[in-house]
Amino acid sequence: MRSLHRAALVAAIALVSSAHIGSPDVWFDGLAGPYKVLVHVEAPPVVPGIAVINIRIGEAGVSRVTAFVNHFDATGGAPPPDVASPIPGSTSWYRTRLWVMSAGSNSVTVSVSGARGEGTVVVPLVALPGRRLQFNGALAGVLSIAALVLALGLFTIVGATVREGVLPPGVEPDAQRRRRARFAMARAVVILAIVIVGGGAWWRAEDADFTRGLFRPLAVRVAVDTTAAQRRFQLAITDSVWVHRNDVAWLRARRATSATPLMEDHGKLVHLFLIATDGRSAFAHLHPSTADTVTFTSVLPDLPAGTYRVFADIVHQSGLTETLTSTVTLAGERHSATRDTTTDADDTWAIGQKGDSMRSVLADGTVLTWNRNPTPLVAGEEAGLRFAATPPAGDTASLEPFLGMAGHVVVVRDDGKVFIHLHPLGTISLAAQTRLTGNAPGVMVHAMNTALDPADSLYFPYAFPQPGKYTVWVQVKRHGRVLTGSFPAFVRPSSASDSTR
Amino acid sequence: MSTTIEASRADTLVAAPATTSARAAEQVWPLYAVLFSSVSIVVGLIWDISWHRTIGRDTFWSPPHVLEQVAAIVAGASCGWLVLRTTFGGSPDQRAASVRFWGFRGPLGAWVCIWGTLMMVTSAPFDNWWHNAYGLDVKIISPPHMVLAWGMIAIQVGAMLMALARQNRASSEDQSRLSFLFAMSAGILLTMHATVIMEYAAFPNEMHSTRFYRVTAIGLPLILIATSRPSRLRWPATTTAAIYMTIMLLLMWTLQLFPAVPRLAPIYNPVTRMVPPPFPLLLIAPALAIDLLMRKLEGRNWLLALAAGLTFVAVMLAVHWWWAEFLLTPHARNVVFGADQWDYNAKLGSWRYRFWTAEQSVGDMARGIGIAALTAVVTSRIGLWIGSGMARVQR
Repeated sequence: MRSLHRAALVAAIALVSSAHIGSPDVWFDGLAGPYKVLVHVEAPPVVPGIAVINIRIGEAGVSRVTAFVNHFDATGGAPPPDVASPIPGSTSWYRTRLWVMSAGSNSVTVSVSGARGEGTVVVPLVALPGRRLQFNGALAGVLSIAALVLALGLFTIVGATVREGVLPPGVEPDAQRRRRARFAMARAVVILAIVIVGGGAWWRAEDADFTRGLFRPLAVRVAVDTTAAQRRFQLAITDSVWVHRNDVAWLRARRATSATPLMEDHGKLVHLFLIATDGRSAFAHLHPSTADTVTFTSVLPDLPAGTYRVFADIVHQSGLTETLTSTVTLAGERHSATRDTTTDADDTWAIGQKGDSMRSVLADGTVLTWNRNPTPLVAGEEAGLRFAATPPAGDTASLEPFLGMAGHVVVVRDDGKVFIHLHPLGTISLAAQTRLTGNAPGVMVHAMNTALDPADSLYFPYAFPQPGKYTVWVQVKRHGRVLTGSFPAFVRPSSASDSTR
Repeated sequence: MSTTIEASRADTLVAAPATTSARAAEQVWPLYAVLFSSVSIVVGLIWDISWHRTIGRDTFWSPPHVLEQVAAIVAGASCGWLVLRTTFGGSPDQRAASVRFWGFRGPLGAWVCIWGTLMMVTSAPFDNWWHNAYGLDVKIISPPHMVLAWGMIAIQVGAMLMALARQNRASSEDQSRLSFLFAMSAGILLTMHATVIMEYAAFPNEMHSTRFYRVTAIGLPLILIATSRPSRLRWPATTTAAIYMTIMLLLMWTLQLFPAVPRLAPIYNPVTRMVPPPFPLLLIAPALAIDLLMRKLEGRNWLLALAAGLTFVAVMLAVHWWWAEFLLTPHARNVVFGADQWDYNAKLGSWRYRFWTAEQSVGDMARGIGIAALTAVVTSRIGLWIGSGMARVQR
């Protein structure tokens, strides 16, 4: 009983954030011990809810695949893992369905047993209520008809009770009894109307409570400081939940949960992306620094004037990742190209991208090719983000790790409603995985050991969550220089896709 | 009102000889079928609660759910058959002992059971949508769960009406059997109500709080009194309360025998057996007092309601205040009393052995008990009114 109260409370206070914009599913490509696995977690749209865990094992000889979910701060034990069953028609995919009971940062622990022993990997899962379901359509129609039949049935039963129910068998009701029956039915109508009105108010209250607990990104304020020698971009987290995160009395009064501090992901507290709203004309990947835990600033590169979408990826110590969003309009003045000494060395930007949906020429002449299937991209289906970097003739240098990864991909839909920052190990944050695994060295070894031969494909596991026009930005590093390419992508709707996500 | 009752009984006695014992035997199985449904529903519900407290997660096809689905199907199918049989193939006597409903004929209780079955069926897609919209079983008391609960209660009320109508029409040789079946149906309904209020009025830790007495004063005296008035048993309320306690004790003793482990994280209390419901309320004590009062004050409804309401709360207070203290001692932490058994995700602590939400002052305590007493008086009077109506049910 008490646990149900607690579950209700957790759902009601719904934490402060969501992993990525419009892209709740998790993809992970990596190792579970000796086994190469691809894990796709279909995140639950509500919490408590069911997550579907799909696991692909890249080899034969596997005897058992299991998974279980736990919350990041669970001091209690974990349940016996669920055995994932082979997906019919596939020789390598396994599936299980797990209940996710707590909102926020969770972990999915996948274990594989087989001829090469046992291997385990932890995949971070951010589960937050993100959408409000409408009560309409065929179900609402059918239930309304059922409710009408039940109401008429109830009135009839009440009338029959008064009219005949108390009469000895065979005795016919007289006119007075029939009148009393009609009066009783009228009273039943009034009572039922009161019940329906009260029930409707209750439902609305429940819905309002749920809606209040829906994900809302931390509120931010962005600005450009033009008073310094170089323009500086400022990002301030102004959300009261963040500002009061250490104010126990304030949090308690609002039944809010304290947000845990931030931690570095790929060595940076914030990964800030500025993407021109007019398409592919400009892109910047910056790493603001901070003197406090509210305001982050970064030297603004010479980007063309215009309006930009702002996406800032942060990771909490809980393992919870979220993307803060805003827009900013940059004026036309250009400043010296001299790099400010306070600028992060890994900041990079690209202007005036050229290329098509298959091929993008990078600034040093390297050709980045998207090895796409000829079939159209479909929402909800694995996208096949495989890229090959072909260096200019005579240049044999390999790709170098950029922020510890062989490559970075940013997927953004043209309306900004979908945004995600990917790596070859998938949608997850390495820092979150490290936090949840408690075994950082092994994870880092895997990340750094990703093949860096430019002739090889860079693979980024992902499925476009919704149909629409997208731009896929790809960043690699050669000769110490970060290179950015981009590809337009049109994604068709899937008949099975969930448009509410 | 008493004149009407007497007249109804007289009519019944006239009508009864027309029903042959062979025909009565032919029709008795629907009554047993709905009684089976009635008890299956409450057993399924208590089992399901235990399932959630122990294992945590379930499916549409979990064993407690299947039991409840079977109960609904049995009630709906048997009553549907009874209606069709009465309408199209019933004897004049059978048709005469039925009520009309949209051109069909059937016993009143059968219609209520059918209505309850449809409510239960309707709740399933509604509940499924609710889970998709707001989360899995976030709260016990939600609109779709209330639709389901009212469907369940309707089947139990329908079963009670079927037993009641037969009791009210019965010849003397069938009287005791049918009266007991009616008490059985009333005891099941009492168990259902006690289960619904379990969140507030079941754990001993609640029994020093006036909320326990305020909550128990709402439905328990109403059911005990309403079902006692039409009963032909000598100790109807006591029998009903005894049936409730028997069902709860059997379930409490049985469930904890079965091994089970939690299947949801985080697990703070690694239980290894099904978590049973708490020890039943000692309702037999206030029920005994109600039986005595109903004999002494028959025909004086307002005085009876006043006496029964006040006595109910006084006896509940006297019995449970001390009983709760015993249940919080180590002597109750065993299979027999089933104390100190908690959900898999309960963070165990000293709260297990304390009284929760107890009033801090004598004034608050007196005010809370006063509200409980006033409530019990009102619900007792309503119970008498309903019971008088039930005494007249013939079909």
